[in-house]
Amino acid sequence: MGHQMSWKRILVDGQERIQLEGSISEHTDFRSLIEVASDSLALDLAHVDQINSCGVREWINFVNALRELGKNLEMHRCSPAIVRQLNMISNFRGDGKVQSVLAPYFCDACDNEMTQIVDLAGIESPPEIAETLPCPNCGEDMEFDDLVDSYLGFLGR
Amino acid sequence: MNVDMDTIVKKPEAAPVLGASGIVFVNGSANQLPNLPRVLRRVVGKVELRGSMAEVRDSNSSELVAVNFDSLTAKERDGLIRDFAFGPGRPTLLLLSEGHARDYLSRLFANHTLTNMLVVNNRNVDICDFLVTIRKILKQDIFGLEKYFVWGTKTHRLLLTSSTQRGDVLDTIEAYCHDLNIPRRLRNLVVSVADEFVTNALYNAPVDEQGGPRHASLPRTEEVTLAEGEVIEVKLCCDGWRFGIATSDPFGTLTPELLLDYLAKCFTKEDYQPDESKGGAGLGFYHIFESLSHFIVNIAPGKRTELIGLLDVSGSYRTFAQAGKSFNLFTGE
Repeated sequence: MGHQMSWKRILVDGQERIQLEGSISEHTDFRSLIEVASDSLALDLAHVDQINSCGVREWINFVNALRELGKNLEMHRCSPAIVRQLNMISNFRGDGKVQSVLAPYFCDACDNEMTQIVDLAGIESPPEIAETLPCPNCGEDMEFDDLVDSYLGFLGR
Repeated sequence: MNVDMDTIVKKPEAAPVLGASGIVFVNGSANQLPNLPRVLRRVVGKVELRGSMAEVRDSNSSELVAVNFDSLTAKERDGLIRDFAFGPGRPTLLLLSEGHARDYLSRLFANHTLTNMLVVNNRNVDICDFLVTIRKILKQDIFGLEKYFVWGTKTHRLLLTSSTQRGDVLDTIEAYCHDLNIPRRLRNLVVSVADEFVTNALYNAPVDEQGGPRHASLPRTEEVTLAEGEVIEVKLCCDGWRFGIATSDPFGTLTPELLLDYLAKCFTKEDYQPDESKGGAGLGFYHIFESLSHFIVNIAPGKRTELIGLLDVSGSYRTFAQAGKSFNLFTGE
């Protein structure tokens, strides 16, 4: 299984973000993250590859704790694993704002996999996701590797 | 070799493959699954075709009622959910659906109606899954991952007796999927299902001599070890088209009612509220269901529970996500 979650500070366009990496599970302890959050917490979630059911429980407790403390949560570059949970669990983001997600692509010709950022900050309606992209590996078309109609379904809730 | 000439020329008796007291098949007026009645007749012999649910009032005499769910009107679907209660004396219900049943899952699970559902693709049902399901319903021979794969497909077996082995087992499964060149997103699904299966077998399944839960109240970070002679068996299988994983525990404590209630709760899409228990409060089964093409639960009460997951790995994640889902819950000896 993917390694246990770790985090580090990164700077993006002058904004400090906390980058999470690994799997969110029963072993994940969010207390240190709550402690580093001042008024708000900006998370980069691009490298969260798995979340199991116990991890969902820890995450929900985490976003609930942020809400109770009056701390804002921004979610940047949500990985496909995070987007999956956003669509499956209605209160997964709590009061958090999803600023951007990563759209997955798969190349049938050479099995290449990659993601493309989809910006959601300040949008009024869900943006269109490109169904295909040229594969940087072989030049063939890569297909969006999920369901176009429902990938951003969580925005409608 | 002695040759019996009568055997050479004798026509085999035209008996059905399985044989049954008869099944009812509701295919709607549009006959959307035109080949299935013919197949069913060859498999079970007597098949009573019905055009609507209203014609299934006397179905108590049949062992099985198969319903093309997508052919039903909204009113008929409501009626099916309301009237077709899970319980003794009722025939087993087998739903066939291309995906339209999804909006009804919460209600179907909540009143324990839904124990068997097979996905329809391009107006056809996978004949292997269909035969296995009917055989399991009618013959009560329910256990075994191998039933879902053609002869010759190699099955790999892992054993564990302690939560300390869980990480190694999951790493082994991930490495196996990697060697099979299964795309990363599908690989993650296999591993996450394996994680939920093994966690369930180690923490929720074990009971003490009085039948009380042994580990269920413990945090899932706490190490647990099974008693001597108790083993969790994990099986892996892949025919190139789909990947199969199964865990089997020697307890048989999962009840159909609990499983269906958990799934019903999750499919209502209400906000998830972590409770006082240390586990996922049923969320694990929802995760499993959503991460598989086919989820099968076999229970011999007090003896054994086997969870089987089948995942379409023939294409990309999108191929898997576009298809509907199958589900079976069997209880037997």
